[in-house]
Amino acid sequence: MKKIHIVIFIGLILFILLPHFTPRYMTAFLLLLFMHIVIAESYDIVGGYLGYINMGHSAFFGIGAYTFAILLNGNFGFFLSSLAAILVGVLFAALISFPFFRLRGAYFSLATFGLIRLFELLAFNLRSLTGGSSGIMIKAEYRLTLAYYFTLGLCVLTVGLIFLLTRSRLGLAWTAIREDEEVAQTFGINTLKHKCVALMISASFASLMGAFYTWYIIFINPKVVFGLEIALVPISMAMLGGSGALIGPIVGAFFITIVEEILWTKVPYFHLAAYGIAIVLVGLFMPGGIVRLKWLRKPLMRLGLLED
Amino acid sequence: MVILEGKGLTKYFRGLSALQSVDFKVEEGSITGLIGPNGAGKTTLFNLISGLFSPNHGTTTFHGMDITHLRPDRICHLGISRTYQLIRPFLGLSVLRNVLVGIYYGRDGTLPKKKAEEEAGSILEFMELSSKATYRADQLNTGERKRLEMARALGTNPKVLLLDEVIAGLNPAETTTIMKRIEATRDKGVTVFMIEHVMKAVMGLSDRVIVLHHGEKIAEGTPQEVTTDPGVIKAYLGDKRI
Ligand SMILES: Nc1ncnc2c1ncn2[C@@H]1O[C@H](COP(=O)(O)OP(=O)(O)O)[C@@H](O)[C@H]1O
Ligand SMILES: [Mg+2]
Repeated sequence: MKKIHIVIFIGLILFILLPHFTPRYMTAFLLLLFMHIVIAESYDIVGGYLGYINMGHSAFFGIGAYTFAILLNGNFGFFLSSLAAILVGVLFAALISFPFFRLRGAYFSLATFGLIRLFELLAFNLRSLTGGSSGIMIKAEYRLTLAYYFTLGLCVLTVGLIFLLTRSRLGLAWTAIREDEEVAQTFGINTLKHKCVALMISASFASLMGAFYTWYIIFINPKVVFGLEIALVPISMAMLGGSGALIGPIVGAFFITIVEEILWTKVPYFHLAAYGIAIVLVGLFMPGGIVRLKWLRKPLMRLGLLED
Repeated sequence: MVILEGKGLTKYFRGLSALQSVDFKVEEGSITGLIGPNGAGKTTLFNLISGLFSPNHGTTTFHGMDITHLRPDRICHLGISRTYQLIRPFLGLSVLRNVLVGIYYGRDGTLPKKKAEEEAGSILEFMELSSKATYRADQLNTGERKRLEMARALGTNPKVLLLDEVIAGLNPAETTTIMKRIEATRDKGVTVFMIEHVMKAVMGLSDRVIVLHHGEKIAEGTPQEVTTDPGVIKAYLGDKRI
């Protein structure tokens, strides 16, 4: 076993034991951190590896959340409702990929950003289904520790699968498309199909996270799941940490979640600024994100945590 | 036997014709040169063959099969691969992964990982890029990038290889290297169709040469026939570029 494997193993054990020793707010904070990692990391399949900046990634999170809430209240049970959340999210991803992936660059980003607003409006207006602006209260109790374990599990699964995927043939096609889509196609890659698959995989993690999050906080409304707060998570975190590198979104999620937490306790409502500040900082001082800073690159590569 | 054929190929860009009713034939196992002054339509012809553009009129056939309106990825699977004049390796990927794209996706069937990596290794060796395998493509110099372009194309195990100015801009040593590689590729049974400005190279390598000028084919034949053709001489002198 390599050193890094041992570190990961010990870290996991630590995170599994932690809720039994730490105060509840610490568990809640870590849950939030893991959730941010899931969202940022799954965003990065499309944003970092495929090279399409998907500003609407949180739409999948919201779709998963609402699907789960509606079905759970319809007595379909936790398991089926979660499964349905994934299915609806993935199906929706497949549906939009055909029109959306004909757009390039900023046009794609703008169109996907519009999706969030569209769903927010739908959630507001399909009252009989979504409860409109008063939202949905699910029939479940507040169970922090269990929700923590589910989120941790999904986080490990997401990071693990993305690690494997990006090193597989599929990942090779994604990066080839990112580098030069036209050339990728003349080298045998069915680009539309691969873009569609990437978005579907990316959506599956986010929509399941939406389901788990709903189960954790019990109550959702359009603002909670389709609001700016969640919408800014993936882009700001992936970009701050370093898009297109496995540990990038993790590092970004770590920094922003901490800053956000500090701001939240010191100056409520100012925490949203953390996202904006992160984006500006990246643009000004570190276009490749934290993990690609000159003095960090080399050591990270030596540890096998950074590829390029 | 004719492996690749074009009939009446015509392509307009904003009303201006880049290719005007061009017919061509490429014999299996040969090296066929494609020459002509800048802007003659050579690259456009390659773009039509590889499926990047559809012609306004005309057809391309491969082994007698109509491939005119097939998608680029399908054409690649059939066994036609190419390089780009403007040198477009996947800059952010390693040299090895560039070649693996061709091997994994450009072929008809699928290779297991181990076999694919062996294959990539031998192609890199063939193109004298082994020592650069782990480098990112953007760390290579122009000569190496051109060889990578060719290596990636060879990864698809092509029957026809379209080379768009892989020699122009290289120093004499690099020129000799790549000319030898082109001949060796032909000797392996790959048909080569090459655009080239460096006359010594294209005339030395080609069995037959096709000459384009202002989007029309103005001559065709052996290198000797073409170089002595008055129309060709006029086209080149008129262009002030030889
Ligand atoms: N994608 C394109 N859009 C518009 N015009 C083009 C395009 N590609 C080529 N052309 C035009 O077609 C003509 C032939 O170009 P090209 O095939 O690149 O010539 P060559 O490769 O022989 O130098 C030129 O006038 C060029 O400007
Ligand atoms: Mg050209």
